[in-house]
Amino acid sequence: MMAFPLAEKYRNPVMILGDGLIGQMMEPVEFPEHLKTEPSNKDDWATNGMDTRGSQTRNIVKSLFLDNKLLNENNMTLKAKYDRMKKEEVRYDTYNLDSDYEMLIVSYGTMSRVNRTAIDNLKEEGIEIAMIRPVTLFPFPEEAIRQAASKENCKAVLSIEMNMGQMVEDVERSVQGKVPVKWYGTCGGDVPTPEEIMNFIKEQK
Amino acid sequence: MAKTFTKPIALSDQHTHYCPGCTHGVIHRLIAEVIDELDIRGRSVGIAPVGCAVLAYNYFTFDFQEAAHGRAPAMATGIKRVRPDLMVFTYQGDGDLASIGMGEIVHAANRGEKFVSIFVNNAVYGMTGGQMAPTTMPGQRTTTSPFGRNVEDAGMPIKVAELLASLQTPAYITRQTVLKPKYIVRAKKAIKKAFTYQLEGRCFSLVEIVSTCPTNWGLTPLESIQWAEDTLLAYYELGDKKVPEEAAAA
Repeated sequence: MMAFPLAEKYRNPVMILGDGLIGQMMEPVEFPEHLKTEPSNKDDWATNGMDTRGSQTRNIVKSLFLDNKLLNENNMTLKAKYDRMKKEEVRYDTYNLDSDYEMLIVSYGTMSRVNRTAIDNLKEEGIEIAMIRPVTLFPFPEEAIRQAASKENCKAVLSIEMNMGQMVEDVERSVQGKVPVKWYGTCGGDVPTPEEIMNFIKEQK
Repeated sequence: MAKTFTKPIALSDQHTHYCPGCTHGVIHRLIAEVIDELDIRGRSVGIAPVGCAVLAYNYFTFDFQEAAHGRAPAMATGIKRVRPDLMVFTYQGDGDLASIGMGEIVHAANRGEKFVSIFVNNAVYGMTGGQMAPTTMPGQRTTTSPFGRNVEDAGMPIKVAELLASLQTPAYITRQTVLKPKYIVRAKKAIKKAFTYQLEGRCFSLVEIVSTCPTNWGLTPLESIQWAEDTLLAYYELGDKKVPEEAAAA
């Protein structure tokens, strides 16, 4: 419900990434009222027929620009669009971020759910761990991760994923070498248990 | 003095980029004339292909979209389903429609999408440099079949009109050409019929138009017309391949 208005707002494809569990999950869904939006775009660009717009000017929707100057202009327009997304559309969740954490997890999808349990269990043992869960991967919440990694007692950032490290380079880029970035991952549909994650975290201490 | 002949309003003033002897210009004009005659310019939307006609949108004066290679029928499907009152057509070559876009066109036709496809068949990939297409004739030399199309390897050319006419759903499937004035008159009638069927809300129509490519055939424009008439028309037989039931009964 977020994807369609965004796709329309920017006239840009939106891709929703899932994992095996999310893909096969089945449960009742309620569509929240605040996400029910009217189409945001005017039809000034659409190829809906000149009569529809009451216009004598036709519209062309295309991506081919054979002229270098026009192609460059188009690329700059696309760049400006991405810059705007980067400014306005970065989304992420945080968990235990207001604690005095010694490590920061960056994790998304099913894996982030397991990490919450691990974080809760470690808290009981007196170990504070925080988590940032990127909701958007593009644009990536790099500023939020950089700031969270820069917090005084944060000694490492852990990219915990259910793959072979598809996100870790983005995390490294965001952390900018301020603290070490470690990666933990499984694949083949194997979901790590909270205990495995807790062990991994303790190994990094 | 009264004006007795003029350029169609649906055709723009741009010089085309097409090669001498190419038939795209004639086909563009026929479409523009039909759109003028049916007075549908204000609600027409064309879908340009990838290929020589990718710039077709420069030569018309109504809304146009450019599709990815072979995907014009998918775009046309979307537009027509959202806005059934619009007049939607795709303009595609044989490299676009009969090769990479084969799956798109077969399923759009079979679903009975209510748009028109103008399919320009010149038996070769034009824009990309004259490579062999699914429609290339046996023995025809192209840049990727320098010794001529070998049917042992590449099979026989695909007759798109016949292939689509074997489906139950499409309303109107025809093959025409614009090699000579007598053919041009018939081709225009066919295009008009296809657009009229769309106005009536009928299912998918395809007008295949046997065309030329002097540049990639290595022939003069006149030789091209002769070769097309002798060789292409012998294999790609002209005429209606499928018409609506009541039209067939009449």
